[in-house]
Amino acid sequence: MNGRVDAPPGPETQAGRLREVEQFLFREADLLDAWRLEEWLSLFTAECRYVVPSTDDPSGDPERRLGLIDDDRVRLESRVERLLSRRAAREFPLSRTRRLVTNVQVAADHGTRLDVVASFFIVRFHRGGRHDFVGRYRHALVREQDGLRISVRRAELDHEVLDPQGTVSIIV
Amino acid sequence: MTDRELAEIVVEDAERQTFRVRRDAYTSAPLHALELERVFRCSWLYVAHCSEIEERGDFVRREAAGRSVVLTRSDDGTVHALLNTCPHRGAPVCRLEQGNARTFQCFYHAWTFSNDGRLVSRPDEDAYGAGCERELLGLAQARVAQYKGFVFVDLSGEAPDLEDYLGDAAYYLDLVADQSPGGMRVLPGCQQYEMAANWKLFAENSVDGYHTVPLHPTYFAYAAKTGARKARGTGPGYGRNLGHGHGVMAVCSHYGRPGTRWVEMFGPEAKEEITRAREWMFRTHRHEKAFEMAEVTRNLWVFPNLVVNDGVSLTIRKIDPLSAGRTLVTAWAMGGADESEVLTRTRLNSFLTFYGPGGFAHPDDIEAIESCQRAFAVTEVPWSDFSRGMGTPGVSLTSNVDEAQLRSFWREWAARMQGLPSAPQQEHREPCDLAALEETHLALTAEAASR
Repeated sequence: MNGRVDAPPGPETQAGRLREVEQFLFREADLLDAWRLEEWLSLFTAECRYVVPSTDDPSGDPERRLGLIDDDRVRLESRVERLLSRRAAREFPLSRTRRLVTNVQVAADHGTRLDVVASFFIVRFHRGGRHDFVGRYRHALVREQDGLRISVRRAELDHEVLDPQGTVSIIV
Repeated sequence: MTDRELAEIVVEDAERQTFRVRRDAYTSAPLHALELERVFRCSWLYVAHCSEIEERGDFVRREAAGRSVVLTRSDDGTVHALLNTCPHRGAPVCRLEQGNARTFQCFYHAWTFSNDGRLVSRPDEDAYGAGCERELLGLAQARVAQYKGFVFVDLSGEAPDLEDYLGDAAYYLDLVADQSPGGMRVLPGCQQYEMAANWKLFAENSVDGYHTVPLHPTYFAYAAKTGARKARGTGPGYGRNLGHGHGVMAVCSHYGRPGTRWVEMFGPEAKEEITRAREWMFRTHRHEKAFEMAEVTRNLWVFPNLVVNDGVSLTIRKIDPLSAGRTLVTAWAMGGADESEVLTRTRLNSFLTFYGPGGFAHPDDIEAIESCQRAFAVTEVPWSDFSRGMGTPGVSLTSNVDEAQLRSFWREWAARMQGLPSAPQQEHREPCDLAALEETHLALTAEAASR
């Protein structure tokens, strides 16, 4: 999905754009670690997609082969409600997480839409255990009136099997 | 462990209507080693669906009771279960998950085997004497059989014939296999996830209708948001002991079924095809069979490692016990072999709402059983209870929340662990009264629609 035509122009230099994207991703990671999920939702466009392919093929398209998560806006909102409801047994009490987002690159600049890749390392602590989630983000960000928004958020896990995580109960 | 101790793990008291299992069954390493030998090695283990090895030369590598097995369709079209270890020095001859190959060459010393297991060449053939002739040194093979496309292996070679082994569970595989005129297939991709819980906790959870309402409220909230109407109460449905450790938990719901019942959430583009598929079912099969296929969510447990869930998605789960406290699950989605891309997409999408490691329900199942496993450290409480619905006259329209199908599993497990023949089982064996089930379902559907 393309950004609005009347969106203000972004930073003029490549370095400026990269810095803007990095700051956006870092802020996003902080919101997730703080479980401020409703604010986090406000970073998305009205029609958006959150995708986690299955570990057997990180490049897979969940519309063609079985994935792990393929949320549209309604399901993403429901996921947030679920996680904050205290009734999602896997995340009650909420786990502690810390996300490192690195190797950020603007892979393609289509004007109002930026294709962004980055690496992530997420550590989740829960009930005395520690699980890691490692992988690559491939997002599509669009420029709207008041800044960048996420149109497609895709997290490709490097794990061969969800071993020992068992689930993807946090947002990765 | 003595036979007497083994006989005291599962304790049933028909008079007092109690059925209890000692929690050591989930935690003991010696019991785990024994069950690999007495249960897993001597049972038909689900390994693959024939659609995964459709063409000659196709292969998939799978685990069966910890053994690496290569399922191949050889050049003459037959299916082989090659044990993946070179008879020479032990290296695996196949190191890929899947593919198509006429031969497998061991990467260690380059012995080469055909896809039906024969040793076809090795370097320096002349160096071997009469006792090492090529004919004697093919890959070892497991007994392999299929029922309507579901491929099983028997490592012992001594299990009863597959159809006898499946018994009443076979009909429930029919309800899946007969859903499409062109047959069924496994859709691309799989989920693999490991949990810190004994495999039997996963087995129980798969056919346990009692937990659905308390454990999965966030799923029901999501479903309501997408327009699905929930019937009042639970059911109607039934739980049924299928004998030989197999069981089924079935329930009528108002949620969508991608192959058989369209709902708004699936979108207008899938409507016609789903409606046509449903009409085909009712035209082709006798009414009761078509009704159960089209309208009844069924969680089928085939002892000891296969779960087939036919609900908001058609799902196969293969269970591999790794140790007393760890279990690996592999899950696939199924669909009709001739379906459109639109319907495939609908199936894959609906799968992810409830099922799988990122769904709205299954993560909480895993949390529940991992929590049970941890809590078994409280050895002061040595028993788990499976008594619900004991002493009821038989399979009723509310027995889906009872535990007869779990007792079936445990009786079989206990018999096999003691080296006894498959357990004779009577409790809740009879089929459900499907006419009554349909009538109740239709009445509740009408009521839900009028709300």
